[in-house]
Amino acid sequence: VATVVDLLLHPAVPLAVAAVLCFVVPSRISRVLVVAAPVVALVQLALLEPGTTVPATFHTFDLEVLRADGLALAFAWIFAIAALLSGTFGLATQSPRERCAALAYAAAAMGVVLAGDLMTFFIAWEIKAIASTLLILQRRTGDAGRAGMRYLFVHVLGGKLLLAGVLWHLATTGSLAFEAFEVTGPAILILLACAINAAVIPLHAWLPDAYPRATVAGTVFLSAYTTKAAVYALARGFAGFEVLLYAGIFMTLFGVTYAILEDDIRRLLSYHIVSQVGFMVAAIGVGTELAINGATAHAFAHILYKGLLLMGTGAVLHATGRSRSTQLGGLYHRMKPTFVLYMVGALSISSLPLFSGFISKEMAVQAISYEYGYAAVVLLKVASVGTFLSTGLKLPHATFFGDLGAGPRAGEPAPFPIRRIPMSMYAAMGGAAVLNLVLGVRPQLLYDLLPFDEIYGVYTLGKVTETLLLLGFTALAFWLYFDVLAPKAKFSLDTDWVYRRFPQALRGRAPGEPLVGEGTPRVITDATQGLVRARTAVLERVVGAQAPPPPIAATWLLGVAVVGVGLIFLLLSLGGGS
Amino acid sequence: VNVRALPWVGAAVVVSVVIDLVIGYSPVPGYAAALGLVGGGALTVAGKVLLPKLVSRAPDYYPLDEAPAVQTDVLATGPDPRDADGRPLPDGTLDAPRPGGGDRG
Repeated sequence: VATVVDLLLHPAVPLAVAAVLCFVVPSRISRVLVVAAPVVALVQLALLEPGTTVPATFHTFDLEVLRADGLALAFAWIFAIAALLSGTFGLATQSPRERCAALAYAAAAMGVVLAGDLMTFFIAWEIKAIASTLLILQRRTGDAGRAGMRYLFVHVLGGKLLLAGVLWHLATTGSLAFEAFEVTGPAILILLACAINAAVIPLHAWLPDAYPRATVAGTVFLSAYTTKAAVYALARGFAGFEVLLYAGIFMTLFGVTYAILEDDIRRLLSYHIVSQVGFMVAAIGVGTELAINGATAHAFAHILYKGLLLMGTGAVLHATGRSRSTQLGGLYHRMKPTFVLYMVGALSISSLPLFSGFISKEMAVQAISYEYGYAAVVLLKVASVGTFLSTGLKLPHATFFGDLGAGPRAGEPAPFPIRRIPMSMYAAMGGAAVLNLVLGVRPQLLYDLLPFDEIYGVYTLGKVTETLLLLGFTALAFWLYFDVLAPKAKFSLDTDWVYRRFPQALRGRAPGEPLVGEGTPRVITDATQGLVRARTAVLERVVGAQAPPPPIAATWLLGVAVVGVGLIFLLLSLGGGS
Repeated sequence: VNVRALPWVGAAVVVSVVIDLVIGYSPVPGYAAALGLVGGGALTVAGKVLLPKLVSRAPDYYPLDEAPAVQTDVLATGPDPRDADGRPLPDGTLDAPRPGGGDRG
């Protein structure tokens, strides 16, 4: 039985305690907590002996609330670092309630990756879903509220799939241990739940829908945890499931293609999360030790450089209030440090030698090439080309230069106000940039954290030359297709159309018109209004939202799906139990 | 296609083939150049020509969820930029249109 002292070893504890305290203490103390808690978590991780486990018993179930093996520790380290950087970035902008949600989210993600059994894993998984929803709702605007509710329903659906899979697995094997799964019915349900959180196509649309609508710091937190916790779960339970290889390759290409189309800079980067997670999912599909190391290393590096990219675009949004490429441009002279720091992230994600993404992505791609040859590698390289094209060239050009060139210098008139960003944002971006460079220059630091000894020495003349040529010719391609690549003020439909517009289309209603209206039976109208009132009360209570509540129609189809699936699983559980 | 870039691209391809022949790492000479140019071109065509026909809509396609042009709720607080003498610069309005309009497409 675990003792209280054993449980205090858990690095999620300081984050969870700080989350609770942030809810009650004054704002200035919450600023200290949001930085101090991740530091304490990092110290705990440093003190945690690899291989440590904390067993516990709940009723008749044998649990393992803490399992600090190589795979879990690699993710735990980067989760704590991400909490520190994201918390620092939000020091000047986040409210205490937002810090509370963010720290709870980080604590739950830490709980997910350090869980040794499926029950602890499920509980942490669900807390993570709720905390991340609250983080999105903290933007306190109508569109963020609606996106948050859609996000919640998608993740509740995933949570139900996970619970059903866990219970079915328990019923068939009698074990709650979280180990590698065979291809069975319960494993497929758990795989689907993980696929939703990993944003595997076509279950990904919640990500570009919700992430860009959070606050500037909220988006940085969001980019670190949900998809990477799912990558961890896939690596733990589904390594070598070949379907993941194909799903991953498709994700890489789908994400970059949509990113090229996007106008909103934070939505563009959200599609790049889908693309980069695709590299990890594909490597997990290969399942060799080198591939799992590659997926883990890429998750580690991705949290650093994607956080940096979203900090850079967040700083632009904070300074100008604008996030569409077509409404930006000419920021270079006024935001030089932000541009330089953003470019460190952009070159990392593009896997330029000496940057973190180079060592991680190449390891994953090389592992795939050993098992599946050049065809898969060519597709992944094309995805890399798209990554540099949009994050390294198109986005920074449109944002910092564009039609306005380098823009006005300080003290000169500008077409729109460019306000100063706080030092804490520079500190967070600087920290992330330094870590990206350190890992790129000293890859051994990252290799030492990986779960297996198998590594790929990426710094060879051939590999470096090939990568430099690839990126150089991508830049030439950008020059060649410059006019075609110019951003357009358009919105791109995605698979969330199925639950955002299809219900209205089905009923012949106008966009935005609620599904329930004239001619609807009174019992349904009354029930709907009751639900709306209840949701309004909860939202006002939890996030203090001033905006109108999300309309019931926005989540109607998802709500029906969630309730329906819940009922089916309840009946199945009752049947299985009897 | 930007025609001014073509001579430079041609020269760069020749140089890359020579580099590949000297180093002998790539499976075929010009491999990286082909991936960069053809891959970039394919993605540009897919992302900017083919895909928009299927998925591009007006920004207010979901009218309730369209973000405002200036998202004041996340905008840094504080005074608008001023010149060296402390006078507000003439860019003081938040919704001032960009010169040349918003859509560059």
